[in-house]
Amino acid sequence: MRKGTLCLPVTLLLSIFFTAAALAQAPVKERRFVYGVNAFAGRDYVGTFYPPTVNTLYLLADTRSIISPRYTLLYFWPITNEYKVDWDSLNETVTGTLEILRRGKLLHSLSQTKYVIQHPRGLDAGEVHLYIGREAEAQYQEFQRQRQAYRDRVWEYYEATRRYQEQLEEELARGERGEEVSIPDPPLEPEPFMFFSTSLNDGSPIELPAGAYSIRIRGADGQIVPQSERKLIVFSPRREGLGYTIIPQTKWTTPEQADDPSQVIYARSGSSMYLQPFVEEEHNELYYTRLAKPQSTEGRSDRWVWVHIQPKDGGYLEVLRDGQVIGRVERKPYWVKQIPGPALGYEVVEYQAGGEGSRPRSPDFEGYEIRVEPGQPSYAIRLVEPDGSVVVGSEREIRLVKTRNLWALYLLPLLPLTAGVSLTVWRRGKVAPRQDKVS
Amino acid sequence: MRPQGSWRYRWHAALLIQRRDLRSIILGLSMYIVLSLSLLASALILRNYLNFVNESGLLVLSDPFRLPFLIVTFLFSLFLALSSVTTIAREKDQGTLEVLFYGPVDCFSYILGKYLAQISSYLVAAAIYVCCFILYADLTNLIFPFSMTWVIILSVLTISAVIAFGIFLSTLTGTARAALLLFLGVVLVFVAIQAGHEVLANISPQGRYYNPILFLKNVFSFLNKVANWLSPFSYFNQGMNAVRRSSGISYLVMLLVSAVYSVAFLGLSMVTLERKGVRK
Repeated sequence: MRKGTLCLPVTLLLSIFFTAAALAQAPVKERRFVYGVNAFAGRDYVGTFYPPTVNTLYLLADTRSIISPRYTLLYFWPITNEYKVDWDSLNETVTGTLEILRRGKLLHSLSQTKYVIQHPRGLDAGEVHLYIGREAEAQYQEFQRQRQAYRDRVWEYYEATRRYQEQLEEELARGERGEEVSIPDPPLEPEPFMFFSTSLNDGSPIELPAGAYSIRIRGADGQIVPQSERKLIVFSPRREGLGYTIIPQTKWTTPEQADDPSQVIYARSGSSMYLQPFVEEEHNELYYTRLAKPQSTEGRSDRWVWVHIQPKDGGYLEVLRDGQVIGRVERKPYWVKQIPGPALGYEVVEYQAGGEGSRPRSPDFEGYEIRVEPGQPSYAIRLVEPDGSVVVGSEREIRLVKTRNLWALYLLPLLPLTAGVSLTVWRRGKVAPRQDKVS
Repeated sequence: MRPQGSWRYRWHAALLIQRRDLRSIILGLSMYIVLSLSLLASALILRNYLNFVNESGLLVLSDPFRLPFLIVTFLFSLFLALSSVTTIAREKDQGTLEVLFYGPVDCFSYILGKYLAQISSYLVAAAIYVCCFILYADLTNLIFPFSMTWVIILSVLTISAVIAFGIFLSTLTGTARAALLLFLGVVLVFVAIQAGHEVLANISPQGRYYNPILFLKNVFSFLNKVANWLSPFSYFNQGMNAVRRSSGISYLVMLLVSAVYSVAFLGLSMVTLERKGVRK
């Protein structure tokens, strides 16, 4: 009995051990050379790495990016079918210079320097700075100083909150004793710290005109570092322009894009939409995809993609009919008011700060409202700067689709068939008497 | 050495063949059935756009007639290709070709005549399509932009390449049935490559069987690149993209490539017919 009692936990332990051994498929990590890249992607820096399996690096022309040769632990991750790196275990800078060649001729030999990438107003605010060399060190120190100051403010706030709680309790006790009570003002929470900065890293700043290059690392010993020879494609946008994100009133959570100047906005009579202009660039789909995802198999070299760079602030929208300006629309904030009741429903209303309780603290979105009035088949819109100049590439046509008499769409295809049948009948009628004559 | 004025006679013979064949196409019912079906397909697409606007209130499109025009061109080119593929093989099969060649007809004038008949019938069809599309545009208020002119010009050369390819296949075989089977086989291979490429390209890398598929993906990607150089529709598609992007150079390249394609296959057809002879 006792032997049996012991056997069961031992068997269980052994089975758990072996099961765990069988399930623990830890990937095999190898020390390999990779290129760490902080590539400028038009609006922000994208941090990527190029394993030895990826032979071509992609960068935007005439913008500064960073290439950092590293030794790290590389492993294949079968779940996503791509190589991953374990920077935490190994992140060794490869000493040497980055050589850039074009048609076999050495163009530049770049040494490594300190760099830092910072978003002073937060990661999503759009503003980004790349600092290199001494400026990078100074800016990083400034970031640390501001972060420390924020920590101090938070600490002070917690201290003030603690004192406030104590005062509050004292006042409550005083109130219970029937004495006069004065409620203190609560301490103000410090503004959130939005400043984001990477740590100080080593890398070679690179800024090249568009073209095909090759790169390699010449080590401190004067030899080319194995696996460092790669192709480099530096590309520039094909076109620059102004695109619109269009929020239809009927489905405000699924906006449409009008990026290409040739695109026409077709709308239903009486509908409303809200336009948000964006500065944009048109890039080769393959190049741009690989810039952000070097191991991706997506993207085609014969396709182009519009990339929104930043929202276009300021200015007003002009509405034109037959080339004449008939209206002017200002940018306004809006919020989406849910209609009370069990059924789904909402309405988009203009936001005004303060006011009634159901209104949110901030608007849901901002935009230029366009109402498609019935009776006018088409008109145009364009964005105008505050100084009166029209923003190049901002013109779009809005057309009101007709939805009456659409049965005629199906009538037209019948016409050729009718003509063909009539022709055949006519021909037979012509041929038959002749045949009768012959017979 | 050919006698003096032989080019004039050849041209005359080519025009006679062209007139005879064009008359046969225009007086037949097949062309009208294809016209009606293709226009119906385009009407369905346009109706779909309008339904979308009706339901969601908004649709952003650069060119609503682009897809309908691609479809009508594709369907009509299929009709012309089938017609080209069978025409020579059938005449050879029935012995008409041999009789023709006893007269003042040679390979050049015969092939040219056949080609001109087919391309003229497309010009007639294109005029009908344009008229119908303008009416569609008026009915729906969808825009039929001026840039469609460039697409229509390009379509003539695309169709020209398809016809030339069809005529070439027709000269390769002795019977209409064999020519038809060969043509359908070629079309199926192109379609399979393109469909396979599209399907594999959309398979997510997170899939369980991605690695073996990756190999197939690369194979189909390569085959698709090859097919893109061989398929006239690939030129048409690239040319349409060039029009949309206002890329004049790319457009001219596609025009030139389509023209060279047509001339090359017409030349090959003449050489093949000359070598194989006109007898059954």
